[in-house]
Amino acid sequence: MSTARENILSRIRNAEKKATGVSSAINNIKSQDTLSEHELIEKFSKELLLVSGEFHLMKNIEETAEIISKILIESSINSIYITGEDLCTAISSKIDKKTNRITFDDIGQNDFKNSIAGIPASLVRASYAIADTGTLAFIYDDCGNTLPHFLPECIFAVIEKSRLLPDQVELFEKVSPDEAKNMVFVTGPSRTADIEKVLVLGAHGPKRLIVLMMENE
Amino acid sequence: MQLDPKYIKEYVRKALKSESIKSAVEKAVGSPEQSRKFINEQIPHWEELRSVLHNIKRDVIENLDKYLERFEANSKKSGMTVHWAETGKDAQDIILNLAEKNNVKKIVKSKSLTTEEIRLNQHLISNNIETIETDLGEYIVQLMDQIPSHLIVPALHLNRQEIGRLFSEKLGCEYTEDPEELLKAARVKLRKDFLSADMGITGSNFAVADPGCFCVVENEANAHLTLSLPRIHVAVIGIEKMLPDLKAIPHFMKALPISATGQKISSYLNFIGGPSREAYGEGPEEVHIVLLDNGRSKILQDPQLRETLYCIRCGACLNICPVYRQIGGHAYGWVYMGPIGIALMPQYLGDDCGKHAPFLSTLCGACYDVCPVKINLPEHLLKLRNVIIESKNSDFSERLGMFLWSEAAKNPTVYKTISGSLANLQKLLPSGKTLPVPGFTGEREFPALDPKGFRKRFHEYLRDKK
Repeated sequence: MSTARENILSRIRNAEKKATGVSSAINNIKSQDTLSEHELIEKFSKELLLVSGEFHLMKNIEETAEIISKILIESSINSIYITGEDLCTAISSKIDKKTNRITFDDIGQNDFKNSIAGIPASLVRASYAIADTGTLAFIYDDCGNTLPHFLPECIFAVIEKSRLLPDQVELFEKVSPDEAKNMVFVTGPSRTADIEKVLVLGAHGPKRLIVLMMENE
Repeated sequence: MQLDPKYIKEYVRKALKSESIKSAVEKAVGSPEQSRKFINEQIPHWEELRSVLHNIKRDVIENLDKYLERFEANSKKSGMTVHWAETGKDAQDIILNLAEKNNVKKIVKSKSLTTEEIRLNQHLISNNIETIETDLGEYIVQLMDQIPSHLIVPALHLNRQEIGRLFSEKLGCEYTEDPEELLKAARVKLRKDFLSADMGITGSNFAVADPGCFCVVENEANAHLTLSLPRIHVAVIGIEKMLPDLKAIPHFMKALPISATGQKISSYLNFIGGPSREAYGEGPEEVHIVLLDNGRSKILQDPQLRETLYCIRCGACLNICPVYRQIGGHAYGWVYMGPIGIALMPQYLGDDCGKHAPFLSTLCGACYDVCPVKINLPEHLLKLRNVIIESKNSDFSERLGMFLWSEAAKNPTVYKTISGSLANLQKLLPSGKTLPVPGFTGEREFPALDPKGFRKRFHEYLRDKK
């Protein structure tokens, strides 16, 4: 008795085929003009702002920590989850001591998701940034998990300037398929327009995405 | 509320009488001119892009068996389980078995037209498994016990007052009409469901043969939470959703969001290439992919009509269609609506349910102009109409009318006599009024017959020229 798989594939194979000859189709797409580093940063910032994200270009860790502290105080947020990357740990040590900084060791794995859901902000690091759409790429092999990037309402995402790419085409040239197959692109905060097409931020994910691009690592 | 595509004519008549449907649709789909202008500004090489996307899909559909086998092999290597479902019922059974075997009590779902095509929710719920839509529009429609009225904006037929009353009744929150407050209420409720669900179900926008992963595009982050929180994940993927490799993704992602919602890019693009709980501490312990046929391999048998399988479900054809803009989505009675819907209905649903669908079009061609993968819908609708007429499946009165006209048209004297008589008969009516045609002029504006007629005018023209 043939299986569903065999039946489906056999019907497909038996269909009359047409010639295709499209092997170089994608190469025919014109690539964008090359932009300077400064132009790429401007482009990224502009696109991110268009989708209600926030952007700051930071000179160093101290400046980054300062702006995070300022925003946390202004927003009356008194705790922040710090993801385990070295850069985030270094920034965290300079964030205002009044803010409760929480790490994985404080929570543990057992009730991780419920704990993260109760923390109002997090500090995460992106793998790459994509200029032409204001997008951050989080590769699981690089970042580990992504619940801290999605469950809190306010996300601070740091990214080194050197990891800014012009477009998605370049990203898929740089990242191997095996890495790219577990990944998420984030462009701005979560949103919906399902009620009378009125745009509202903070659907099921973050309401605020603040990107801090660092000039010096 | 379950609609039946067999009653499409009834639904259309009802929709034509509704001003609220027209205004809801206009509000939701906006101005086609502005959309086209925006696309041309954002993507100057739009026509070139469309051709490339068309060719990629053509290559995939013409070699679909190879891409499916490659996708399956790569997905299995990454620890995913691939199931094949010939029919919607098979898919329902596979998923129910998975749920029961794994003691699943609660499922969260992100927006998936494929799962609505197979009526998955109803099947799971009738087997006592709580199944919750998490996309805000789908959640609203589920609470209302309705079906979506647009591919991309499911609740576009409802206004904020109706949604306010709905939430107040079903969620127990204070009545509000403010979309921000309504969203907050849904977010709080659904966050609890995300955190306690046993299984997540999504569809997929693209399935990538190499390296073997699937993609989910969204704005709300509900799909990401559906993918990341429950311990088991099921993705229901139509077999036509294949792409060859990840290099195709940037190009499809240039076209899809802008065609669907006018956005340059969606908020999130999720790539799922395997169970992730062990490696990353979050995500599913098991990932099951259900490859769904449900008539797609049958459509593939026709070398012309298989082009309708290229569809990436962007909804651009709905937004531009003058018929859809008059009647909204429910009038089609099926999960896929608008120009692509009426091309798929006879192919998926057969003559009984699909015979009226291809006629729900003016053949203006606007859908073809906007389709990012260049599906020649007007050509396909004409072919489908031919098939219906030739198999004598059209209405008897229409067949009789066309027969009488064609017999008269074969004989110039008969034609001249009949049309002359009609023109004379018309003189008995008030000026500007047309002769009634049963089943036609009751609901249509129709110009009065020219009292002279073309032949007389042409002879006068020739005479005056001399």
